[in-house]
Amino acid sequence: MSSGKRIKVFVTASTIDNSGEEMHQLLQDAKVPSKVILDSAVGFIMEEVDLVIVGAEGVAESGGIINKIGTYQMAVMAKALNKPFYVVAESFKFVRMYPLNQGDLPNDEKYTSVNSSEDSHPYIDYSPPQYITLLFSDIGVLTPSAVSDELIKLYL
Amino acid sequence: MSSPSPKKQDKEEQKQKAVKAGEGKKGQGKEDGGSGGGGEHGAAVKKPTTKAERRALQEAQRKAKEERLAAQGKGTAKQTTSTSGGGAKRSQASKGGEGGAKLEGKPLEVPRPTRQRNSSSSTSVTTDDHRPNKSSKSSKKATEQQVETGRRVKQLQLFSHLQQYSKAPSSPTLPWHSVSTYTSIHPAIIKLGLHYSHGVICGSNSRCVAMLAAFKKVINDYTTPVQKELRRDLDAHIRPFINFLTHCRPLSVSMGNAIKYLKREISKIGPDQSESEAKRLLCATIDEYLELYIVKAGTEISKLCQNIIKDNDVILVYAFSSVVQRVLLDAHCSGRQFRVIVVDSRPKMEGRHMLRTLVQKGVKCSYVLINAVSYIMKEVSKVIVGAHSLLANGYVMSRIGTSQVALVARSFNVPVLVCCETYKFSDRVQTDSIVNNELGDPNDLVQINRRQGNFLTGWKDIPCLGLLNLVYDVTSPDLVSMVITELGVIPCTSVPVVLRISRDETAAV
Repeated sequence: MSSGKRIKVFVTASTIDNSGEEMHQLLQDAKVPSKVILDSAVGFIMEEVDLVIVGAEGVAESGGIINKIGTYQMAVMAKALNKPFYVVAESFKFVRMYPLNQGDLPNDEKYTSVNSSEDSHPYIDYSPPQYITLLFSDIGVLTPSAVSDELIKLYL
Repeated sequence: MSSPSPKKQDKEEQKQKAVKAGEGKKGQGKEDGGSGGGGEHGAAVKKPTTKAERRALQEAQRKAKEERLAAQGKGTAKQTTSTSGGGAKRSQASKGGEGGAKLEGKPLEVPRPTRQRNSSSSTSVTTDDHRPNKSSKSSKKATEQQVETGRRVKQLQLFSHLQQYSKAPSSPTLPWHSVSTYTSIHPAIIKLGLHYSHGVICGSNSRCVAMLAAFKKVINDYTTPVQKELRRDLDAHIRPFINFLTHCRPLSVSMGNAIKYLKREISKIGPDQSESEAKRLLCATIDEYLELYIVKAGTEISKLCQNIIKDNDVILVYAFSSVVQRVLLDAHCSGRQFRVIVVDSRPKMEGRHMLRTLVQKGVKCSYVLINAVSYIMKEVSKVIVGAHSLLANGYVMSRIGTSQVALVARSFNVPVLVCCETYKFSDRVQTDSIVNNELGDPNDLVQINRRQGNFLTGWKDIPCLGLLNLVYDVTSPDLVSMVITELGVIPCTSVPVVLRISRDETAAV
């Protein structure tokens, strides 16, 4: 916004903790036109948007990201409608993890309550690298395959 | 290079006869097929009759073909793909048409570079240096030789750029080439070459290990000639051995990389080191290479896989891979509960070996042929395969059938894991399985067990039928979920990164 571009933002409500509302509030304060949509309306709204941006809680070695639940379906929808899916994450979030699927995520990160997984809902999900177009980090703009390169440089 | 005139053919025919008669020794009636080798292997009694027989047959055929060629004029003979019989003479003659001369129906200059590209870059250097006259002569007459000596292997146009399969005859004598150079080949290497050619030693790791063991013997038996330095002469000494091995069976990428390493180590030997010291050092580095890049790498890969294989997994494996076998056995020993589905395919049926070893250790296994892989895939949770090599663009070169399995796995959303040591990484880039491959024996495909009878036995006589037995295929990186190496788990696209790192390391050293 500060560079003078006119944008409109759709924010998903993220029903578990309604962090979407918080985001919406921040955007309103910054005078960015924004609108809150239901998580279930992502498919509906996807044809109107030009691109998708998410953050990440962790960036895996495969180039995929671990983020709040709901990110994966957004990524799949974006891929289905050919919209670019961008991730912004600092380089300290890069981890030497290589999940193959949702089941490979560590359990203690996943569930909000201490009880068994049947009662609670998963808190995070994994979006595989084939859905991600680019990763914006402090070490540069990377493709998902370059994440492994950076990690090898850091750790080997 | 267009088809030569009949006149030129005659001249070349004479030259070629001389070439066939012996290493550039014109006019001698010496038979190729290795009288020297025969002596070495003690089958001298058999040799005279077969030699005479073959010679007579050869002469008759040559004359017949000559007349036919002269009549036909243009290179229609080159295009010949029809065959008839051949038998023992064929195998001998086929190796007689050696060097670059395994191709037919293509411009004659092309065979040389493409065949060299097939083998590792080290051997491409060697063929040039060591026998320039013979090789260039034989490559020039690639088509004529084959036509006139009546080599009877039918070729497919699409694959005529590859080194055609030519099997060593089953007798233990040194077969095929013109002799005198090959009397100087170390018996350990000859044994190795025959093992490769007959499929006794099969599999990327085993071939490399066997080759390095043989080279250790060669180094120990080597004595530096007077006025020559070990570190310069040993290289030249080894070159014909590498050529020989390539003729028996094209070098695998693992073998090629090991040879490059060995040559580098040889060149590092100081000029003032004594011969015995140098030999000891070389053998020690070979041992170290084996230990580090093959044995320890296998252990590391197995360790990494322990965390990936979970309880109640259903793991699909394809054919045989020493690394995958290690992974599964270690996982089973550490108490993981999983079951394995072994997928197998003709003609090699290597999966049976995998199945046998797994069942012996008590792993729960199922066995299917590759035709059933789409049926079984819905039960599978992971696919683990080995690799012959990983190419620089992330493609995985592996036993034929692997890309098929990976494709089906992708369609069922099953992750595909490739286990590959870093010494198998190659600088080469290819995107399909045709441009570079190995051709196996087409006769292996003939055996079909059907009640209606074996209708492929006469395939050579059917002009419109060809049998193709490819050995490797190439899997694209988007079908592969992860590659497990001893350096860690990497995505397929990170192969060039690893290559870059290892290159920097060797450069620094």
